[in-house]
Amino acid sequence: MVQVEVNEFILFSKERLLELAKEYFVSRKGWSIVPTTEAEKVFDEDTVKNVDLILRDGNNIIFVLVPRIVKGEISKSTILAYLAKASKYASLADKVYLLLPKGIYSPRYIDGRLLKECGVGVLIYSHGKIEEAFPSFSSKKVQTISEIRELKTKIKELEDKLMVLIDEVSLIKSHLDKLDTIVQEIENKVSKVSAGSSAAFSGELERILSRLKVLEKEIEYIKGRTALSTVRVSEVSLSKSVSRESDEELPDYLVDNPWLNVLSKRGR
Amino acid sequence: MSIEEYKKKYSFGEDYGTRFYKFGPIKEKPDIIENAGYFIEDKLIRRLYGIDKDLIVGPEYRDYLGTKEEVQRNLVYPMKDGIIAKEDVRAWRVIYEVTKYGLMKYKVLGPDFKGYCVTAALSAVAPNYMYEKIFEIHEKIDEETGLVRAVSIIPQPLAVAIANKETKCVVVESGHGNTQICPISLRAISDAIAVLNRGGAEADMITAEILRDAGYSDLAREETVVRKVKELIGLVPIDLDKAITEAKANPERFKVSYRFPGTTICIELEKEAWMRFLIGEIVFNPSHEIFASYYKRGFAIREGRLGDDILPGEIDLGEAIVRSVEKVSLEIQEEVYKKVILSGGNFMWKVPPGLEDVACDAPIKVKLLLKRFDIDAGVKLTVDPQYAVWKGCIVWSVAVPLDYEWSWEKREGWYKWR
Repeated sequence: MVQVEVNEFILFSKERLLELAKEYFVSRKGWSIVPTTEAEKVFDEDTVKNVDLILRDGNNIIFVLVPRIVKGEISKSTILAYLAKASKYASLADKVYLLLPKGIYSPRYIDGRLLKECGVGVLIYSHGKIEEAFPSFSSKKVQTISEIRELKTKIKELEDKLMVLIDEVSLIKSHLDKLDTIVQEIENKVSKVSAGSSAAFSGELERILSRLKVLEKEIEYIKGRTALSTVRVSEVSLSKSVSRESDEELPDYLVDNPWLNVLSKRGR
Repeated sequence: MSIEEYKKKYSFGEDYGTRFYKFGPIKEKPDIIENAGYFIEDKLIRRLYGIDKDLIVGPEYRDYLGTKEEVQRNLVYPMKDGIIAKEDVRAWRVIYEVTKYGLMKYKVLGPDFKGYCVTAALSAVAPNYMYEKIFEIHEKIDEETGLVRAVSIIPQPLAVAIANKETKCVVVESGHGNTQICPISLRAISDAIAVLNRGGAEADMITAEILRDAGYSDLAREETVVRKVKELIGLVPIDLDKAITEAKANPERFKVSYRFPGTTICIELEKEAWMRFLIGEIVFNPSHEIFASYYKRGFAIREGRLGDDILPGEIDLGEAIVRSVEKVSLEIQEEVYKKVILSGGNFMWKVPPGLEDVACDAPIKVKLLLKRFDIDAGVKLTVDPQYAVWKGCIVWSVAVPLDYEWSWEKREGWYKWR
């Protein structure tokens, strides 16, 4: 095990620290490490490269960054630089932690208010053990709100599409009604022709009649489907419906108003 | 469903007021939102709020208000005295969003729905380009939502007459910035419409001057305080000279004291209490000689218009009504004088108990002003001052035949695009 002593701090190598961190997190119930191959599918290359450890706790994603602590170069500004780097990821993950030696977790190097504002937490290690010293308050919520707004927009778009569908369904219905009438007329004509036709055409007529029956069945089937989809559309209707008031229930300003008569003659 | 039944079901009214937008399908009362929009141009702030729109309308805009400076810069009331400049892009965007907000609130999904028959009301002096823009906006909204089948636009005073069920009358509409006098005989007689460039704003200015004269200069700068004081202390005199003589002789009777709730602001007028009558008088008769000293302080009223004629800015309301009605055919003049309808917030004056001998309400004041021209007029306040215009729009939508195409010459009919 590589150990470096800096003043009163015992510093481990980054590899060792990551091992410790993995052990610590995996020992917690429900936590697992997200493999790099999986992380690459979700996050960009820069994130996967710069975040030292990506974990999952239920639906939450946790990023851990391990600052490089060099002997003789530890200062508040070094830690601040890492804090700035970590805060960059606060909108991508549910929690972001910096993993630091216990001795560095002091007001000399760390500003608690700044940590809170950046949404970054601190994990500390000491004598081979890791513990959470400062919780992470990620700002991923903003992302969630915008996602909700996005969903709302999508719902609106769906509603609009639904209205177009309703129009189309009623158009199909009216076309079907027309088709139905035409079929009836053809049937009548055919039966008349059939009555007075010679035997030479009877086979051909029978074929036409059976074809018409098939067509009829198809129309019935389409009608059934149309009715079904109309019911479904009305079931999912989300918008406010405007109640129609009967003549007796018309608002006062529309009752006995002489303008109704005057205006109804406009353009005549 | 017949077209008449369809219109009874799917008529929609829109009243574009300077302060409020009133809208809705057939019902007792319209919905009301402020005719305003709040721009959030900073992308970072939009991200923080989790919104992708840069303009918010409807009651929720209040959730996004920032500092006083930001509100001044970003809160846009598109109409100034009922008019929007042609090239005012931001104002027209607000009108588009406000209109869409109203229609989307009453979005209908139903196999028989083919869009609302919308009637919008604009100021009687709205120019043609405003009509064109309103049509354009509705056409665009229909392309996006399928909610508009046809649009008609009517002048607000005509809508008031319709809501009052009067087919021959004179509607006098007085708002904050201007006063419109519109004779009506089955339609608005456009050549007889008079517009005075004065309204509640002039009463506000006199109130501010009174506050300054009484030693409340700091309060005189606060617009909301001035408006409140005007409503609280303003009086319309039956006869200004007599009222002032009485008030100066018995200041105790007219003294007024008011403390704004929850503040340390307190106003007391005793010696200056006679000035309360100036607030009401300027609305009806700014030509009184007592106002000369105020005009000298730089307080001026712009000239008004009657068709192509100019009206003096200080013309008294009675004379302005007479000049307007004189443009109407002689046969119906007597009839329209019998029904003078006053509409708008600038006519809501009350008489405090005990002052009935010197103060009066707006209908009596107008009646007295017309009496000076030997006209025995019937003057009344509109029914339902807040909603009358919207109600008139609904009646118009229900009654005007849908096959009556829009005529630019007559400025009526239905504008359609599908």
